[in-house]
Amino acid sequence: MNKTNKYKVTLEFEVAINPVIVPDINTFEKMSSQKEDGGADDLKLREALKKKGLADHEIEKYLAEIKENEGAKAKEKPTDYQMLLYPEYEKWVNAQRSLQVKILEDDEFSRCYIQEIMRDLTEGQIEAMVNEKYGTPDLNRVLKYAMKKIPKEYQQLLKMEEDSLRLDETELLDGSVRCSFNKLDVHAIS
Amino acid sequence: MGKRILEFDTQEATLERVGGKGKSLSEMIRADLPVPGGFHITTTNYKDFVSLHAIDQYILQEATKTDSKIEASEKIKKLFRANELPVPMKNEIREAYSALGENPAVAVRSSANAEDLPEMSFAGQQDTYLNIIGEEDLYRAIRDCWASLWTPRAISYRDRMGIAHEEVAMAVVVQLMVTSDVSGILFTANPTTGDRNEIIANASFGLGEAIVSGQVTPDTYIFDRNLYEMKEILLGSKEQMIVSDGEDGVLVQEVPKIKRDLPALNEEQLTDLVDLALKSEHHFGEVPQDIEWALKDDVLYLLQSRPITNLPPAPLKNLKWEPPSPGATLLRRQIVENMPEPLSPLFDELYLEIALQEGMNRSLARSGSPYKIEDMTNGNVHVTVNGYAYQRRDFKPVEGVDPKVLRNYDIKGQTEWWTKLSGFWQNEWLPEYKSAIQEYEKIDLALATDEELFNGIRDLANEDGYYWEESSKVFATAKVTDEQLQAFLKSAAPNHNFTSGMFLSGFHSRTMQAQMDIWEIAKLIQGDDALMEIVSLTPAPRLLETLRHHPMATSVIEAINKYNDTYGHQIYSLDFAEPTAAEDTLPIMVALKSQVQDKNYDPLVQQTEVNRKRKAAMREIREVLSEQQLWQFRWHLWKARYFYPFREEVVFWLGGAWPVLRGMANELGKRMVKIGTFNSPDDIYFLRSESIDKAIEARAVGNSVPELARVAAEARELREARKRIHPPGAIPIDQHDNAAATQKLNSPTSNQMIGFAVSPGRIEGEVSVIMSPSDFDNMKPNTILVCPMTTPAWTQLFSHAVALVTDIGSILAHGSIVAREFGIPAVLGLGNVTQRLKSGQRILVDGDAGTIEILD
Repeated sequence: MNKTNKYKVTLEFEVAINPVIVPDINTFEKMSSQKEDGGADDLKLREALKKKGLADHEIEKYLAEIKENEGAKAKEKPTDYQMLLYPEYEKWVNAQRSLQVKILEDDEFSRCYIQEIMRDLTEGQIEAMVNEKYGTPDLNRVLKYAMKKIPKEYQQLLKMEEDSLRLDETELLDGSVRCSFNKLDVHAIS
Repeated sequence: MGKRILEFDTQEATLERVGGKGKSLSEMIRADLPVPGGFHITTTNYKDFVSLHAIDQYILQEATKTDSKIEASEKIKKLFRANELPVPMKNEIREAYSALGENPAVAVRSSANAEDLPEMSFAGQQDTYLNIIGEEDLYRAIRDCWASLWTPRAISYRDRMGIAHEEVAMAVVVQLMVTSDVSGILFTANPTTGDRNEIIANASFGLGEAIVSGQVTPDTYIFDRNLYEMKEILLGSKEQMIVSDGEDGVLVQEVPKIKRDLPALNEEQLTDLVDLALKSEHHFGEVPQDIEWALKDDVLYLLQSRPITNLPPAPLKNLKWEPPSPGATLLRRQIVENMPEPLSPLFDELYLEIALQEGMNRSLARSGSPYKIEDMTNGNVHVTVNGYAYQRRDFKPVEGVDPKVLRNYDIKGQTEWWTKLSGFWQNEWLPEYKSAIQEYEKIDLALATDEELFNGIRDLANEDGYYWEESSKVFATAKVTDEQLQAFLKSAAPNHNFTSGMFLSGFHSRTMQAQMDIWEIAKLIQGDDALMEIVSLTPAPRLLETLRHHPMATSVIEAINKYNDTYGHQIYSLDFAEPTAAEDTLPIMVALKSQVQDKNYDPLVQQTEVNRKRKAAMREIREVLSEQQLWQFRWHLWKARYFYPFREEVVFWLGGAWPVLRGMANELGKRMVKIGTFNSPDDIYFLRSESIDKAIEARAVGNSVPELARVAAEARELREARKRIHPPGAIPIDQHDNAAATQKLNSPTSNQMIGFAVSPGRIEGEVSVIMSPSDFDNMKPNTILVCPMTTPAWTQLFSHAVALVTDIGSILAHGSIVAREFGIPAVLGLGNVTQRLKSGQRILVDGDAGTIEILD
């Protein structure tokens, strides 16, 4: 080979911009009222009542009364006063929606936004992302495979059987490659 | 004998002529105390010597140069060595020396005219020459003594204490040597605890210099003054002694092993020594004394007696930490977290008892409450125990309160709480408070009557109380939402050490703005080499004054004034008896110095790093939580961020009226000093309003009430004594477990301590223990700041702290917000950490787990 071979290698990302959607007030209220360890509370209470000397049927009755009271209270008033803030949250969400619209209605500007958000989201992670798809870099494996295709004499010269020396023995070959970042292009797909 | 040399029993032994040590010796002679004979070489000799050889101006030039003090000191010392005493002076000294005997051995001691005053100890800063024999050696020792006025340590000390170099001169005491068998020091009160009933004596073999210079561990005797008997003997190792070596001065000898285990003094000798010490104390007006003594052939001599420097107030005994009303639960929390020290009587009454209570009632009335706070709490909400403020947490509605009415009001309150608070704060409470301050700013202090001034003080205290009671709701909401976020993270991702602080760090705030503003001033200084040198070399306590008098520093002073216009009202303690940030600029000067000297300091880099960490935490949590949890997290985070800025904004204005209030108090105080009721203007803070009203009434008819000065002095002394006690975080003690407590109960001996995790990160490092604003210049850059608590005026100390650890405070505390903004780990509310640690110790701070580990 006596001329330079050039390649364009593209790292491809797919960026999807979804509409800003948040759960409505009822969904939020439902989520915030869900007790994750309600069962554990129940168990603790049963144990405490047992220690106090209450019989099983007395404990059941007591717990049923508590649940009934809680139900009555729940009907009586809003369960979560903090949900009164939801309109403020909605305003905040709407402001972001409006921002999204403004960004996307201008092609040039939206490309800039996508370029920067993509860089932000992938900062320090591109290597990990590529590795996840293709495994960790393994130049050794490729070289060994290629060596099988050259004459035995060359294989011996390059110490093909000594894995640990491989990258040293192919230093000129590997050093002939120059790789530089070219550009980041954003193209709309749909 | 000429006037330049004075005998010990002279009547002319003034501080100016014979220095502090010489004056004290003459008084001791007149009190018939056994002082070895000798004479004074007055300060006139020093002045004549430097003037005759025309070296006075040169000395001043060297000492005031900003270059190396060591170099300056060496140059000055050479000058004293190179010049002879004038002949007439020598003749007079020779005559006095001969009168003591034939070539007697003498001690030549310095006695500066600013030495040994009660407020400042120059002890050990000038030299003493022992066992001097013969005229020529005596002359040399005198010149060396004079030169010791200019040691690097003495020059720096005067710089630090603000003593003008041109005003000091050195007298010399020449005193017959007592080649003592045993010698030592005695304090007529315990200098560490302040206990006036304990007399503490140190004794070792040979000359006392071995003890003074710290070469030996002497015996320590603790004598009970009331019982008039020995309380305790702690035998020291006493390995060495300094003894006379004839014409060759002194030498260090090994103490025979058999003697080391024996007390250097027997009980009879100690009792005789105590008697002499008490006689001296009596002579010096019952002021506790620091005495140097010597025993030779069973005869006791006193070599020096001076007031004990910085003697702490006498400790308070039999203190009880009980609530004023039985069964009450008291916590040092919420507004009390801004009151680290015992309260002054006036603040206790006007603010804690009245303003906060009335503030609550105004707030209740505004929101349409059918009841007053007393109906729901059965008494005052804030109380003091041993002078320390506490908040009650045992609220029970009193008889007659209708629970249904209360419940309806509660629902109304909850609605307001979550929908209108931030608007109220921005549009009503803060503007109302500022407007009240502005009204009083307009008053011409000189023309206002005494009553107008005192009413102004009351009004402004009330306005601040009301401002706090209303604003505390916004403040509390920020706490609630922060805690909910924290609790959610713990339950949704228990294995990931997420804390709310990770997601609430790095936002722009008043604190960061203040930091940036100081940095701008630092950059101004860095741009000028001369200013750089001044700021680097001048001690922080004197820096502002030095800059004010420097022609090149005009723009820096303007920038500092502008800074004070914005931030100067901030408080170190909410007690209005304490100065505001504009009055005590030490923290700003400390911050300025360290930023100027650290060329790599850049708050923007710090801020970028905090933001990077927050973004990384956001990325991580998105990976960890389920979709539903992620929405729950977003909702919690939004609420916490919605209220978060109010926490700092509310506290920024707390005590905002104090500059105006203190101006009025100072004016009224000055009037009371003039008529003879007060000793100093700030006596006003140490009286209750009944007494102040009495003083005002008396002044109206041209009379004074002098006994009020005594009442104020006693209250001031009691407060000082109370500052040395450590208040528990909860009363009774088991209430440390209370959910609202701001201090954890840690064992007094364990090296593992638990507090509140408020700002994430782990770091191992050295600590700087800073107890109050007066300690601020002891903050070593890049150390862990350990303190009782912090308020906004402490913020500037954070710029070079690598972590924060406090006694008081939880997620609500000011320190937690600031630590997050600076991106440093913080563990608050450890209860007794300032008592457990000393500056220089190493600890491991784990801001994720809320623990510290003491490493040495």
